[in-house]
Amino acid sequence: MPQTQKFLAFLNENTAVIRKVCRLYTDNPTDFHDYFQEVVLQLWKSFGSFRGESKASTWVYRVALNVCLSQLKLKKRRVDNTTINSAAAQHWADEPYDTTEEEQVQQLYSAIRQLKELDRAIILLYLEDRSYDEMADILGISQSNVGVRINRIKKQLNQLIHGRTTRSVA
Amino acid sequence: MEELQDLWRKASVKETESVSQSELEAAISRRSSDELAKFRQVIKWEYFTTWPIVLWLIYETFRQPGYWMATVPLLAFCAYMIYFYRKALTQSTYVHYDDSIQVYLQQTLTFLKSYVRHFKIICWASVGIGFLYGFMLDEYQEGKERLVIFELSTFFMVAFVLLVVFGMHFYIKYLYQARIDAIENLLKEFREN
Repeated sequence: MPQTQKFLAFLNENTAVIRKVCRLYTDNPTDFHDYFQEVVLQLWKSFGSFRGESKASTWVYRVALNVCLSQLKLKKRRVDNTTINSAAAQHWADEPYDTTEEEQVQQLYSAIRQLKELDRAIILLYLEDRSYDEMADILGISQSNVGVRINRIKKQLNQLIHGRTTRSVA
Repeated sequence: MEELQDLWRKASVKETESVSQSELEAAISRRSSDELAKFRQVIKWEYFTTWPIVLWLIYETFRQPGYWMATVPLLAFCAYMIYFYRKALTQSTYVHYDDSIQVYLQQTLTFLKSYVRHFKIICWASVGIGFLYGFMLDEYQEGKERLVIFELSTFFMVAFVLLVVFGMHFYIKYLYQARIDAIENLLKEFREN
């Protein structure tokens, strides 16, 4: 099988991961397309040298996150245009499933985009059900540090989405 | 939080749009828009445009009588510049996207900081050599027709030097400092708990 065919098959197995990472670091289709293409290009460039020392998913997350972080515009983190306002947050908190699923997904992305760049990567890996061991490997921090950060980010995210400040989110 | 994970899983199912052969070919044949690739291009551009200037200076040094004294610092400067650019280009290849995020950021920061430090040395050494040449011109062309620049007023000379110094400062800041600050902020996030 030619290398491009092999890579295409590999890419299509992991395309969901790449799309989700790119979606978290962009807020418009043009940037999303650019980031996605850049991730694909960088994966392709290092595909030949990937020897399977780490899991394929770990490798994809690392490349995708590093590319997205390096592509970030050199301006202050802006508040997303689709930021959830307090009334909407309260509405969602009271009746979380009365809006369409698509809207809820968009609200979730908007909330995550309001987190710091690194926290976005951590919560993405958490939502993707990655083990603490794999998360530590991708991020380059200790497992205990991962645990501490996840707890903090969960509280922050819950507050952003539901406007809750005191309720436990565990 | 479980409800968010459920929602995320549902959203993930919709993210399975395949990449076609033509889309892949378009992606892998495009020019990289990544910052580091751009830095590499800038370094190469600086490296190759510096050579004609250096060769011209060497040629002028040997052509002018009494200028042989200037060849020693000039050759030392050239050697340093070759070392600097080659080191920078090699160092940039140590940055890998498949490293962990913290390692990747740290490698990028080390590369950029080292590059900027050496770049400043090069710039200041260039100014120093420029003054040395100017002094020698003044020394050896006494009694002959002097270059126009030495007939300018002190005000213009000072303004020229300040322009060069601030120009260099803003060039470095525009190209590199913003990126360095952004990476340092990201690394600071790693140190925070």
